[in-house]
Amino acid sequence: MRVKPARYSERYLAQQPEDVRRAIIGLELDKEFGRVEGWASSLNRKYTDTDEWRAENLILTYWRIACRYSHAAGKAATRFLDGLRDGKILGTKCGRCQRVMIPPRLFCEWCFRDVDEWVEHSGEGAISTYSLSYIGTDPGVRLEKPIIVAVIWFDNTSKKSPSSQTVLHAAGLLHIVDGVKPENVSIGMRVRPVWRRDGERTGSILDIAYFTPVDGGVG
Amino acid sequence: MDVYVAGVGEIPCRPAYGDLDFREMLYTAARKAYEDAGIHPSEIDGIVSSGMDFYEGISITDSYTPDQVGGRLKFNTLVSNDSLNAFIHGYMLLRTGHFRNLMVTCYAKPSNMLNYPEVVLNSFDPHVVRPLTPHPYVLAALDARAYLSRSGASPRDLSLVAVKNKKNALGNTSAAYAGATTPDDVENSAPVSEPLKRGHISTLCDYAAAVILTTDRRLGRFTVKGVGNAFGAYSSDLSSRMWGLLAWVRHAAQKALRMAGIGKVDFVEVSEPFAHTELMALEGLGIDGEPAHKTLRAGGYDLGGHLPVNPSGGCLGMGYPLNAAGLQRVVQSVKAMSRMGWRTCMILSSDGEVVDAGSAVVLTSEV
Ligand SMILES: [Zn+2]
Repeated sequence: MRVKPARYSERYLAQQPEDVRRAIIGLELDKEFGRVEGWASSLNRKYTDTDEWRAENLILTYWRIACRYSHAAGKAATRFLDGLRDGKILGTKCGRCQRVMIPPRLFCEWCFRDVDEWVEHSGEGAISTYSLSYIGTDPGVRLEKPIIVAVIWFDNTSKKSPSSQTVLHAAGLLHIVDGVKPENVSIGMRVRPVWRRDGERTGSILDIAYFTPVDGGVG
Repeated sequence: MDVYVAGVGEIPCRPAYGDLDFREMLYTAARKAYEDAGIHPSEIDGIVSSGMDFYEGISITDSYTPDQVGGRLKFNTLVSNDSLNAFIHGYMLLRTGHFRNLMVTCYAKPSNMLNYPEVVLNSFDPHVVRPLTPHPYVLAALDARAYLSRSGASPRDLSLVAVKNKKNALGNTSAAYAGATTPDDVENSAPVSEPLKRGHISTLCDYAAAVILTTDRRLGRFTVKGVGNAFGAYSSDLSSRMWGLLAWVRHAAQKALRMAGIGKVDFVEVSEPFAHTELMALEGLGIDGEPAHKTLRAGGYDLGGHLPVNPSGGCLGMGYPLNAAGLQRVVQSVKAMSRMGWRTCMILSSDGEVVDAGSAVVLTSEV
């Protein structure tokens, strides 16, 4: 493996405002993090079936991307997130096709028109699909206890095709399910949101700690 | 088979749309384009969107585009680089005969970027350029210095461009940085990287635009008479670049003019992230005979001159919306032809701030 360590130069760090410099140093972006000893075990792990990816075949110049964004949430998402902070799930409704949209939008892409009203939902609904995940986003990480990732469709919000009864749209969220044994999760299982306590909510999707079975689950 | 512009829409340039996300901005622009064209979204066959993932901070930005512009369950493609390239791709797709109406969209939301110069670093070679952490404005200054040296223009000519464009922008309600300034004001603005002063640099802006292209003559209001695109003469190694020169312009513009069968146009809209970009593009265009800075000094590029350049105010007056600059020019050209009675225009847009590659489009008001 031929490694070409790259790092932020002293000159560049000196140009940064104090807080940014501290953040860069905190992330060890100023270090020669490309040193072989530090990364060897990770890089030599066989991530894929394609041998070309193996580290000894690569010339690497390490560069940690330090892009910083501040995504404007927009009118619809801002009101939604503010609602979560207040312990409420808010959506919008199109008066023409009668769809409820959660997460909300200001427009209906079916009818291509502005939505007509804001609605509130309890967040109770049913699991439409789920998976027990044993993997982390860093390659090679395995989890002892699986995370239950699920899509929850909220009650009385689905629009079905008249013939096949296929759900064409439903208001709902992709989230985590907890408070139930993984082997007991099923499609159609009725769930409700478990909120973080007053004062702990910040206006984030994580203000809902997780969804849990309405009937209390089975431990 | 002719391709026409049926309608255009935009959300005005602003330093920041803090209260709108990019979906809401695009939806607004698309609504206006449909109104302008007088057609329903159901009549659109597909979407060509322009996006740059690094700028937006979202991978595969095109998959975030179709819903808010009327593209649900329709053909969708993303064209990288400047949005004038996306416009040309829309033109070519229509010429295949597989589509009747297409929507070309773009947006830029640089106000979402907290460290723009560092984001741009990631477009440079990771081995030989990135570790030097050059600011893009410094690279632009290298271009400006080389251009001034080669052409015999003076730094004050850059200030004349800035004054002209900011003044033109006073008549454009979509402009974010219009102003009545003097060359001395620009000369006295803060030095950024010599010879560039702050006043020679277009300020970034948030913006979204939508243009509806059609092969249906009944819907057409302007005709796309010619298109051209060329990559410049440089490699990714910045040292081997032809500094002070936009090599792509001559090739792309001549192709577009030949297709259009004309040698002159009534006005030019050119994306100019920097004052010298406009002059470099005009040198490359070469339909003037004179060196660009001499025509500039004589007022030839003013609103009342023989070849108005950036009557919209350009990016110096409107704001520079990154990859959306090309479609920003298309929308302004259409507005100018409607308002001023001009019949032909040349639109030029580089694929980035300091990139020797770009697109040229000739539009006419004849259908
Ligand atoms: Zn609807």
